[in-house]
This record gives sequence, structure tokens and C-alpha cells, in this order.
Amino acid sequence: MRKPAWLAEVIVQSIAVTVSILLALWVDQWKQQRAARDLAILSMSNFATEIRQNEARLDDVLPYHEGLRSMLKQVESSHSIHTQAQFQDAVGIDGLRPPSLLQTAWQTAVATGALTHLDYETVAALSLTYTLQDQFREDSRTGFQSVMQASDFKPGEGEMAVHSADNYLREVVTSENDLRATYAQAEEVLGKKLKGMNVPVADTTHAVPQPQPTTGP
Amino acid sequence: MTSLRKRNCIARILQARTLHRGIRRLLQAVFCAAIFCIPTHFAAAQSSARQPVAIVVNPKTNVTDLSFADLRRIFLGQQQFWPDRSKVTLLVRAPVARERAVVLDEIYRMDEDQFRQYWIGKMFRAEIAGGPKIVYSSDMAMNLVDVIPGSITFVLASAVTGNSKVLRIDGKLPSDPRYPLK
Repeated sequence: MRKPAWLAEVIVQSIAVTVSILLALWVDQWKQQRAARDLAILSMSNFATEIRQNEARLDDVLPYHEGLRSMLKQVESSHSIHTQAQFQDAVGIDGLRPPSLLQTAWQTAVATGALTHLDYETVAALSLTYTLQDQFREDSRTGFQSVMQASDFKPGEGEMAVHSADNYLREVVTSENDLRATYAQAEEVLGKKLKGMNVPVADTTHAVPQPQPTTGP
Repeated sequence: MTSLRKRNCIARILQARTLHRGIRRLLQAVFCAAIFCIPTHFAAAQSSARQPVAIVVNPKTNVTDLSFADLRRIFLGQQQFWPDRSKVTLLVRAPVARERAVVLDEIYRMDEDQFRQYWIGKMFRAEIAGGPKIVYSSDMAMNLVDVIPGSITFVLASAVTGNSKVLRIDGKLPSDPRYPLK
């Protein structure tokens, strides 16, 4: 039986359409993978930048808190604080505030779904970092409120306020050091991932800024 | 004019003169007291107003002399590290203190609102990690500058304690008549 002439054409066209559809699906999948990779890289770069900024804020405030703690020990041993005014002049409440730490990158990554495009090791490291940061923020807030309440003391009860401030600062300094070490670990993980994806990493964490020319207001 | 009227008129004139003399003497006494008191008060005000503001650094900081331009760069947060790479920690006196007013006028050239806005802007642009640290008394400033490495602060020259490291500004100490921070 002779095959009809249109059969060959139908077969050829079917194959062409099928191949075209498969090619289009492949291109679409490639584009989606590319977009997911770009989102992951952007997200990790944002995390790296934010963690560096938070680390810089800790570096900025740690010597001050350690200095305040050292000063509080002297004040506590001298038993010289008897009034609120003396406490304010010697210590100052505002200096006991913890630094403001950012978590924009984490919130953005959760909102955009970027975390689903990262591997488990990276997500676990970031999750631990931001959990510890939240814990630090919450503990500092609670401790600071306690110090605020203790600072509203009657004349002659200054020692308790100083003791409260000293305890609070001890915890804050310890937490700040722990958090700083956590940031260093998170930066290392992010740095490895970004290098593995051939993304240049700005290594400014431990760089010392050079003296800048005078550009006053 | 009758004699009675004359006498009344003279009595009234004498009373007015007496009153006038009493008022005059009272005014003279007040004037003399004012002349005596005002220079004394003015001299006292001037003597505290002219007290220089000393720039004090941590004793381990390897700097003894700064130009006024360098001092300004440090206080504006444009230089955040000392030459030995230790971090600058700026301790600034809380408002309503004479030394703060001098520093705002002479170094920052800003008022309080501009000062606050300046540091908020720098933090917003991520040019610095944190603003200057506040101290509430000269004692607190001197205690902290002693224990915080790389710290720098300012106090009235009379508040400087014996072991403190006071910087020369443009080669001048606070005792120099040409010291710039007065």
C-alpha cells in the first residue's frame, strides 16, 4: 500500500513542533534558573554587606561598653553614688544602650523567597546568625529597661543602681563579643559560596581606611 | 500773694526739694553700687568664658600634636583611625556645657540641630558605624578616655587630671595665649 504524500509532511511538522516546544521549555527553564541564581547571588551579597555593617557597629560600640564597665567597677568600689544626679554624671543612661543592628537582608530574603535558592549550609548559618542577633536585641532591651528602673532610686540607694548597670553591661559585652564571632563565621561561609559562584567579594571587614583629605561641611 | 499763700508755696517747694534730694541720693547710691558690681561680675564671667578647652586622648595613643585641620577631621568623623591603625573613639560632652559650646562653635561650626543632623546623615549614608559617644561630666570624660584605647575627648583645661595626655593643637598647649580653642 502506498503511503499518502501528506504523511511525511505531517511527521516532519510534528517533529519540528515538538522540538520547538521542547526548546522553548528548555530556554524558559534556563532563564528561570538564571534568575534564581542571580537572586541567590544578590541575596548573599546583601547578607554579606549587612553583616559587615553590623560587625562595624559592634566594633564601634564594644570599646565604649568595655570602658564603661571598667569605670563602673571603680565607681562601685568607691561607693560614691548616692543620688540620681551623681549616677547620671558618673555613668549616663544613654551610653548603656546597645547598638542598632540591621536585619533588612533577612527580611527581604524571606519576602522574596530567595532562601529557597540557597543551599542548606548557607541558610542554616544565616538563620543562626539572625536568631542570635534577635536574642541579643531582646536580652539587651530587657536588661536596659531593668537598668532604667533601677536608676530611678531614692537617695542613698545608689549602689543597687550601679550594681544593676554593671551586671547589665557585663552581659551586653559578653553577648556583643559572641555576636561578633558569629558574624565572622557567617562572613566566612558567605565568602566561600560567593567565590564558588565566581562573584567578587569585597573584603573590607578588616581593612583599615586610609586617612582621607579634609572635606568638612 | 498773701503771706499764708507764700508760706504754703515755700513749704511745698522745700518739700519738693527735700524729696528731690532724697531721690537723688538714692539714685546716686544705686549708681555707685552698679559701678562697683558690674565690673566684678563681668570679670568673673569673662574669666570662666576664656578658659581654654583641652583635647585629651588615651595615654597609649601615639599622637602628641595635631593640626587644627586634622583635629577637625577627627571630630567630623572623616578620619576614623589613628596613624597606628587604632580606632578613634570620640567622646563628646552632653549638651549644656561650656566646653561643648566651644567645640560646636570652633571645630564643628554648627549649632545643636545641625550637629545632630550631621551625624544622622553620616550614619544614614553608612559612612560611619556609629556616632560620637556621650559623656555627662568632665569626670566621666576623663575616666573613659583613660580606659578606652584610641579615645579622644575635650574638657575645660581646669578639669584635666595629672596623668592625662593633652594634645598640642597647632603646636600650642591650652596654657598658650594663642591656643585656638577658647
